[in-house]
Amino acid sequence: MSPEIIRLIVNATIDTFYMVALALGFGTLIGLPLGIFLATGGKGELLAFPAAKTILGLIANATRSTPFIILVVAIIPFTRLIAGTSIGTTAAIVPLTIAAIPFIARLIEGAIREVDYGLVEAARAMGATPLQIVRKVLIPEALPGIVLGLTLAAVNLIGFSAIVGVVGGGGLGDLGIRYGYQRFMPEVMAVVVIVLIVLVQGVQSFGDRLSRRLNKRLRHSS
Amino acid sequence: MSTTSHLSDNLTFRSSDWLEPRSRTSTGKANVQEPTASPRRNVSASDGLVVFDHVHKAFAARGSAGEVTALQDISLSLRTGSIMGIIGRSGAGKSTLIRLVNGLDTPTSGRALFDGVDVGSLSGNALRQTQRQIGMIFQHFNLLSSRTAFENVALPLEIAGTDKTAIAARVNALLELVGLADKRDRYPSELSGGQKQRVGIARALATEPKLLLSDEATSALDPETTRSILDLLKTVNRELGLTILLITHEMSVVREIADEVVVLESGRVVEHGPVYDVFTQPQHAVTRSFFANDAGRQLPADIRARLQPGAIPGGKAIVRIVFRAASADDAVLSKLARELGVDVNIMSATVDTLAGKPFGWFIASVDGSKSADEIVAYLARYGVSAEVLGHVA
Repeated sequence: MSPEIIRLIVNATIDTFYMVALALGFGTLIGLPLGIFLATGGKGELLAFPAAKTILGLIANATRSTPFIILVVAIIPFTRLIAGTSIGTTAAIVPLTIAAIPFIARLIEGAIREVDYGLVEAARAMGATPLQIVRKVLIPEALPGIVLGLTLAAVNLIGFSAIVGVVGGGGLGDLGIRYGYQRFMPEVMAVVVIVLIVLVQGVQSFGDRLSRRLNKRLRHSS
Repeated sequence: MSTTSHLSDNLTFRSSDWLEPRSRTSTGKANVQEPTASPRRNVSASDGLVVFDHVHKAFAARGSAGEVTALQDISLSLRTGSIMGIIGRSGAGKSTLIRLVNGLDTPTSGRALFDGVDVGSLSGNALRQTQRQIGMIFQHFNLLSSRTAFENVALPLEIAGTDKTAIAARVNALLELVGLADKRDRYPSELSGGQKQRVGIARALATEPKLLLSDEATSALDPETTRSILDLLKTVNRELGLTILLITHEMSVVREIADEVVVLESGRVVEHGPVYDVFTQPQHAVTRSFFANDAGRQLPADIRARLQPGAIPGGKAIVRIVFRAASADDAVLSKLARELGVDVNIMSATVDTLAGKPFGWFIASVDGSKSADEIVAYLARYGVSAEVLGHVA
């Protein structure tokens, strides 16, 4: 394999990392509060605002049912508005983030709902405000689950990032298609797949380990 | 357990809050009265730290338009410094009842007053301020798994906005009080059930509450741990003057700790009185059913198998005789044998003290030369209550 190709692979790996990390970061920034609201906004729940919760749920479902490739193309005007351009690696972060938000929100909703309701009751009995309950009870108690959810989101985003090649997003997936498939270089395809596997493995085991460390329900020395 | 002696040294409770004069101690001294003549205490809604005033609670039934009535016309009053036990089977409404006190639930009609304030009418900040004066402990402890013992006890203080140094001093004193000073940095998963409940108690006491609500706090614990937790509750009641309202389905818990007992069944109060009276003279079938497992109150199995409701010529009456404080020392049984000329044979007996007063149960067979009713009437003259359980040949 030529040094040229190796450089391409290294750059593509950096691009993938860059896109996934930023999309995960922005997605969490917006998805976390939305997830908390999805978990607590229902009728009779902590932040009861059922109408807003229902609408939010519908939007989340609609976004998640749109195939990613269609989402990427459909929101090009929005991408241009945010990133100043609709092509390139940075621009690709916009659709990736948009796809990540509802996904992350649903995962965080699930993690928050796993928290024993007795803890919320105990905090209410202490005279805690809803915001205090979220900050001091729900998020810390759900943290191991949230970390696992974000790990899953990161792995999914690595997959999604392969698709943003269609808008010049770059990254490993794009490299694999352009060189491995279109230029008949199966060895490039093989290396791309191996790098992706290693990446996903690394992310997953890092997430698992972090989640386990945060989970004080398990008896272990840490 | 070395908890009691440290109390005054380590805790900086404001004495006005914690050391107010108490109308009755947990041993029930002020409550000594002629038991045979004592009517069950009337509930007055005028005073009391906690007052239920004609409380009614209904829930919308799941999956239908109807309603489920959880509580019906509950009127009770809990005096400052006392311990009241509410006992009932699951579904009797006892959890709902105590949740009205700290505003976790509101009555459909009627009022639940805490310290003279109608809790159901409060909301927002006013409700939260009231809630901080009421501690609560739970059957499953409800400790945050992500926080150490220290951090769990600190939580209500953080919520109340107490500053860090004050929190540290107070939490350390509380952990000392509950005997867990050496476990301050342990997570709940590293603690036993009894230790978790001690953390729960320390947490409940953190904001210097006037009232402690206990929701089946010992139901998940083994008998020995239960006893030590109840001892701790008695200690905080006695030393800190903390009023305690507890719910349980175990008569032994009530007996161990409470001054007064309320028996709840299908959302109604079916019996209410000083523990001694309810234990020695249960009036209601539901109350008696809670004693069903009490060995001393059971008939020996072979007798029970032969028992018949009607009198048998030449047979014997099986009588349960209850001695209460005034009569427990008298030789009533020998008088009965002598004066009525009947043979009395004691088949099982329990003599014990309850709330500092003696009481005893005897199950005796009495030969049939006198009718069972005559014997009951004779004993009643000495203030001894007796109940004919049946007859055997």
